[in-house]
Amino acid sequence: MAVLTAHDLTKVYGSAKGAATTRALSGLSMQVEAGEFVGVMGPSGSGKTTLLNVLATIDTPTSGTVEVNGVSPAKLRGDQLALFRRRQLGFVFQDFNLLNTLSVRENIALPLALDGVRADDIERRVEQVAVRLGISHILDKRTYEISGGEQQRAAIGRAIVPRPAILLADEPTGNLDSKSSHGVMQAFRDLNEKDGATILVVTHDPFVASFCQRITFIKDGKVFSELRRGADGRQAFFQKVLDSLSLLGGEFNDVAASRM
Amino acid sequence: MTLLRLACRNVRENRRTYFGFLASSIFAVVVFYLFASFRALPAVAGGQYTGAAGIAIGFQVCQYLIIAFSVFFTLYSNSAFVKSRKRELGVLALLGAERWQLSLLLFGESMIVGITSIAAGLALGGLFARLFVMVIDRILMSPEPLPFVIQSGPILTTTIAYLALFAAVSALNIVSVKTNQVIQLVKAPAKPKTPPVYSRALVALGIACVASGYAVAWTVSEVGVAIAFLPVTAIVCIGTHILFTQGSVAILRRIQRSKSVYYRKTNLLTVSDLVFKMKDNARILAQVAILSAVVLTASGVIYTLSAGPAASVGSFYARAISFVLPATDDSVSIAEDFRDRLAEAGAAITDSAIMRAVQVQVTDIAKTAPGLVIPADDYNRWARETGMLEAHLNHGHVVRVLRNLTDRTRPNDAGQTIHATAGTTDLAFITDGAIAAPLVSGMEDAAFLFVCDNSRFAELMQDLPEEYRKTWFSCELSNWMRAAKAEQAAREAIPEGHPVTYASRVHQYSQMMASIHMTMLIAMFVAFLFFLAAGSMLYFRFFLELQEDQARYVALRRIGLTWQEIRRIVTREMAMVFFAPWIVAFVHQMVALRSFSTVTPMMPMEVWKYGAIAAGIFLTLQTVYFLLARAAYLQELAPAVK
Repeated sequence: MAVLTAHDLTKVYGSAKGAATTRALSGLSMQVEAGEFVGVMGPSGSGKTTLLNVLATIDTPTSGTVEVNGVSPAKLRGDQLALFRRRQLGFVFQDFNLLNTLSVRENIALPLALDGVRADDIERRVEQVAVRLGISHILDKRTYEISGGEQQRAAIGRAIVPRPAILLADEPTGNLDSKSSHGVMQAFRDLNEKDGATILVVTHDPFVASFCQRITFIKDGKVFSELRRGADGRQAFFQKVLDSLSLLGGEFNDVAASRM
Repeated sequence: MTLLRLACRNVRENRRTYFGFLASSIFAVVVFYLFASFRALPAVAGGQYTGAAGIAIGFQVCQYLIIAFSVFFTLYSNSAFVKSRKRELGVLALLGAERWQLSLLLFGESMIVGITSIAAGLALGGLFARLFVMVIDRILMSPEPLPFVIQSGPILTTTIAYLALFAAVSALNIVSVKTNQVIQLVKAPAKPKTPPVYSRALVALGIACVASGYAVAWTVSEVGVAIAFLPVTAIVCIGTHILFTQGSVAILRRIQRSKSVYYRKTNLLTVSDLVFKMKDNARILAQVAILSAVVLTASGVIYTLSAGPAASVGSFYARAISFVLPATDDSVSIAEDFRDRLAEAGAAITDSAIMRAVQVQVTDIAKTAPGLVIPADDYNRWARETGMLEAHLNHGHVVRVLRNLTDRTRPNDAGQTIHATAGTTDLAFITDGAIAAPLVSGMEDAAFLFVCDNSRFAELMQDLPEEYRKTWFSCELSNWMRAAKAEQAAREAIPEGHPVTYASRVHQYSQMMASIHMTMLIAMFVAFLFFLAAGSMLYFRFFLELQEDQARYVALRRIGLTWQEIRRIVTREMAMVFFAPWIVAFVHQMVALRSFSTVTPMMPMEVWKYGAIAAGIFLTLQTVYFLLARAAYLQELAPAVK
């Protein structure tokens, strides 16, 4: 069953007069099935951030449709859209986006509290998520007392605790060192394999992408190619990703050798 | 680019941040100047009207309070600025700016804002003062307008006081920068605030301070009030400070421990943010609470002192208006004309009576005083209309009319003879006792009122000379407090020079109100200025954190917080900051007024009633201010967040 369907998305930025328009997306279609772990890769300026914003309902496409679990967010207005985002979509941001006035536990509890879940249910679900992500021991710490990797895992906890239809991650390891990155990506994979979470990660980092089952490469706002992991090990898949990237061209300047 | 030009540019570029500071500084200057210039008003300084000397001292105290308030506020706002701009200063330091240059830069910026606010404050202050005098003249309809001149004294005082204040605060700014290393400056904004903590011992101390102060204030009376006044005020102030800095955190922490409350919807965000907001603003809030308590209590006292006597006028006059005319052919028509004109001019007559009467001198036990004798027919007609007891009397009998018939006032003379005279004629009546009716007025000519049986009254009218025969008009009005104009119109019914004995609660009350109006107005004005100053400082404190809050709400919007929910959070947080001081001030005021009531003849309940009216007016104003501030704040927030 398709959790997320994007059909023929176009996004044009710039003035209406057409003097200086930029076509960030041009007729992009893609689909994510339930339980899939999908990566979206593309060089700088390929439109992957725009794609994520459109999928995340933060931005609206110039044309084309997005459907999440059969619901089209384009038909929702204002606060309805916010509620849809809160219940159906889980977000993981590059900058974690945690609130520093709250403890880790409270950050994770936030979406449930906002949705009026009972206090003891909240406690229970936060504990469950924390165990799954290996952050039980830091639940009562403040966000600035823990490492970046821990912060990102807390953010993942917050994103998945309302059990969203799909988890959207934007460069989730962009602010992390390689060891933390590994931990965070491992957490994503565990969620996907053990809990069947549907995940879509946008990245330009082949190391991150190598954790996915399927990678969609985009270029100039269109799907360029697709790569499935199949039975490969992560290392082998990583190599394939690098090969595909060289085909794709464009700028990928920070593929660190240490991550190979 | 010279340092001065950089400073000017910085102020211009940071105008959003500076705006709140500038506006509240202007405000403080306006308020200070108004107090100073009113104190210097010839009418006040010369003591032309009631309580002028007291008011002058009051103004002086207000000036001190406002400047103390300004010192704290400017200090906090300034440190908030320096904090928000540390990174910028750090970059300048990295680029090689020397410490003295940075110091000069900050000093220059502060002084630019300071001088601007002094200039703008004086201009606005002059305008407001003019307006205020115009309004007073209009309200009092005084024949000669209040002399008002813009004097150099207050302007000079204000300028010097605030220049010194801004210079001192700027100097402090410099100290705070000098003690910081560049690395701290550059990294400063990344370091979030540490969560506030509280000490149980301090909370207990705060409670003990307030409780003991209350206990003393509650129990002392009369002479003790004056002795206890200062120490009690001092410990309650200390207690209030501690409770705001420590108690607020303690309460919010307790809420956080109760998960079922804390995890309910937006409470999680509101409470966790309030912990910081209350702690950061604790000192300002405590100041506002204490100042509001002082102003509220003072308003309550003034209100009590003025409204109390005015209300007691009502108990002195049994009837709203009454007058006695010589009984002539046209006296009844004059009275009827009076009544009709009264009704026409908008007085709401609840009942009126035109009665025949005989003027006598009554000798009762020890004293001889004038009194009226009225016939039972006239009395009973009125009694039937108003639902009072009728009088049924045998020939030669009378019944005494008393306003209040209690065990204490009930005369024990039934069956005895009442002696009276009308000129040289001696009269004797047998009294049947007394009945109660609100007819006995505060009239000089009618200290006594007797209802006489009809046949005896007829005899009196026949026997006594013309000069003792009267027509008595009296009426009650439901709107007697506002019937002064109607009364004036009705009095034209009585021809000029016509002999009349006149008693009017309406007139007496309006006279009294006019005389206390001025004092009240000035007191209210002072209170109002205080309220505005306190409100603005609260608001601008919020404004200072706008950017921080904006970032936070943007982050929350990204994870799907609705605009509705953000409005709710903002409303609650602002309400807390705006109304918490009022609540504390209200409780303080009630306790203080209880002490005050022991030095007046009034019951605590009555004084509280007046105190509550003053507090109610404040609450209304505060609510209006809150709603405006909230709307403005949300409007600022909306473009980035909505």
